[in-house]
Amino acid sequence: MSKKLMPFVAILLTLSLVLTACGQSSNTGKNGSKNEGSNPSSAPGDNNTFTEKSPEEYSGEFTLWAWGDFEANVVPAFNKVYPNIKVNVEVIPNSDYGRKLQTTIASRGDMPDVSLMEVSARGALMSLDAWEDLSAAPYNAKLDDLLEYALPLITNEKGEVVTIQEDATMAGIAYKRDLAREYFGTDDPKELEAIFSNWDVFVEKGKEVYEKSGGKVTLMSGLYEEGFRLLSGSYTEPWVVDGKLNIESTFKPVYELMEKMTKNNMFGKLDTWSASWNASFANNNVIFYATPTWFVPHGIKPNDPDSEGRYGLMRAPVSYQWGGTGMSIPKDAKNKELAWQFVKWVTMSMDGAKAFAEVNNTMTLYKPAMEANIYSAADPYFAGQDIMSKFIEIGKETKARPITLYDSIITDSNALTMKMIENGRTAEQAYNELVKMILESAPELK
Amino acid sequence: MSTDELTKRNKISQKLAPYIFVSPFFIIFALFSLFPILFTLYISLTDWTGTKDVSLVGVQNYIQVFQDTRFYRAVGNTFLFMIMIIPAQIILALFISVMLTSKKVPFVGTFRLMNFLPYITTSVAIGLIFNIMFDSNYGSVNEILMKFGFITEKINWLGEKWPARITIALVTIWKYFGYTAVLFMAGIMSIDKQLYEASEIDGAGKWRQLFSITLPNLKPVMIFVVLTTMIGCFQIFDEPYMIFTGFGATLVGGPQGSALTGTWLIYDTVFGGTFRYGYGSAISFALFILITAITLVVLRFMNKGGE
Repeated sequence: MSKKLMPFVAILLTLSLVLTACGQSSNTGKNGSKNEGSNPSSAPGDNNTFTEKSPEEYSGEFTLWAWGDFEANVVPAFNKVYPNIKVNVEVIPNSDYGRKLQTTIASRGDMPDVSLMEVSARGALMSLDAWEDLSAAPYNAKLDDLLEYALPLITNEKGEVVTIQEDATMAGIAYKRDLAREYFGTDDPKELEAIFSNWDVFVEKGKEVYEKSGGKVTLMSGLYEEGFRLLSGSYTEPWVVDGKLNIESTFKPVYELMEKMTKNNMFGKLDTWSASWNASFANNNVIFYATPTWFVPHGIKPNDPDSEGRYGLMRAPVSYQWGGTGMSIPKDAKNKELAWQFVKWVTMSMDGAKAFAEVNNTMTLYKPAMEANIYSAADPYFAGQDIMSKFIEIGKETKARPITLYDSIITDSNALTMKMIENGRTAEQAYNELVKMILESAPELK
Repeated sequence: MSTDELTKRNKISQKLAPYIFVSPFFIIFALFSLFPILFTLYISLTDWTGTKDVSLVGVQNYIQVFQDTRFYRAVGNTFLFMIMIIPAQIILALFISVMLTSKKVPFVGTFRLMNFLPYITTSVAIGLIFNIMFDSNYGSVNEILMKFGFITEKINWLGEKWPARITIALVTIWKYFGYTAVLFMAGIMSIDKQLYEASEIDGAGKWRQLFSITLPNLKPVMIFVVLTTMIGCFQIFDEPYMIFTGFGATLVGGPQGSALTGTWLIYDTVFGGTFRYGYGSAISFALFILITAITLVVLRFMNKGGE
């Protein structure tokens, strides 16, 4: 080959490579959209409904991507009812989960049949046109069976229900009984609820605790993220409305409260999930913890395993919720019908609720199970208190804020500006910085 | 087969052979480097968010990059990190490499290994350890500084702008000085011993040898170290990401964006927020151009009076 020709051949090869790749990408796109409704293994595409069968008649296997053992734990109980469905649980570390899902969607890779959506990463994921609408045919999820507050958390901005949350997430305040007796003279939840009936009392008592202990004990651990969850949990305005930022009505009052509480030393400076925060459970430096249902088996008990009888649970001045993991069925899933049997069984059946409570020590959002009182029991760890009934009581009044595409940008910016309040800046300075940071990341919200 | 034909075939084989032998590199390079780079360039001209809808937006993403305050903040932080990291890392690595090649230090192999260990430690472990060490309330760093009377009030290392930057600079220096020292050691060992012997005869002391023989002869290694460390500063990501976001907390870019670097900005744009692959790619190309420009300037500056 002549030397003069070589560069041209090289350019030609490169261009062909790029063009092939681009062509492939757009072809896949077209095929992908064509395939959506006519996936051969998803019977729904043909007649728009799943044929009702007895559980034993469903057979085959499906894949579920999980980051922990929450879902894998219930598979044996699921298989007792559905003996011919094999669930392949693929565990992906939590830190990589969102990225793996995102890159698989982007690269048109093999999606699982069931994928999970943790609430903090849900906004942007739910907005992708990659999920089945579980409220529509052929799924027709009976949303009335779920605790009402969960609906905004599982519905995307187009009104599609793209995930069904597994766990109930209503929250109260867990407290250390010994410290409550020492500082407030009682460890009775009713009496404590009567004392801590509004935020002003929190400020006043927080100051007292700090002064009485010589700065060694604080009422609560820190602003991030426990404090924020507790104080903001009752606000239900979406953070973005009609493509514009809509945070003033939530963040201004919350930041003002935070500033007041911080100045009165109500909060320690322990970031939730940090090593020092984990250590605070077994120590005596924090009295109250913002506590949703899942927080008992995943936050308190692992960090303070030898303290049976030490904790109590009370209502916060507001009903709020925190966290939650949903199960979704990707549009590109290959075994949608089997996947749906699992999702439905876990989230919307009595058997699923019982199994979930038994193996995961927490409850699902399935209302009939709550009404049937299956969770009611004295918890020795909470000195015999029936904490599940308390959570259910809170759950009936809880409301949640609809999730928007921009929630993770706002949450990330909020984590930074809360640090400003923790470091002595005013609520106004922090709020202005928050707006500035959000608009830097998403100028279209101006 | 005639002799002519055989000769002709041999000639063709001889001409083709080099291309065949070098082709694995070019094929791998084309597949895993060139194609991703060109594909990134294509994506940077689109509004792709990972789904099936893609439309070309021309240079709109690039216009936005140059209006983006986060981009300038990331570049600014990178320059600050360069100033904080490069001199300290070079001085420390040079000191260690001179010590370890001086033949006066016992257990050289052990020390070499110890210096290199931070480099092979995973970022997750580093993030976890430094997060605990620099915790403002319980961290050992504050405890030690207070015990020896250097500070009277605890420093909020991971919650305030400058302490956060200092922490990241320290972590980066700690992680990479061993690697730099290995490069310097290789450089020092390749210097002709006769130069040292001759200088000794001429009465040169150790310092004179360091400044007149070792350092001038290390110039090519020095250029390599400075350039790769500079580029590395744009890519600082793993350690601060783990320190600030590894445990449920998500302080993207550290307190008030003080540790936001180019790579972190790209990561956050693509994998955080609203999954803007197109815009993230545009940022990466803008950084690529910037890094190339800076590298050329520094190369020219360092080669001045040159080879």
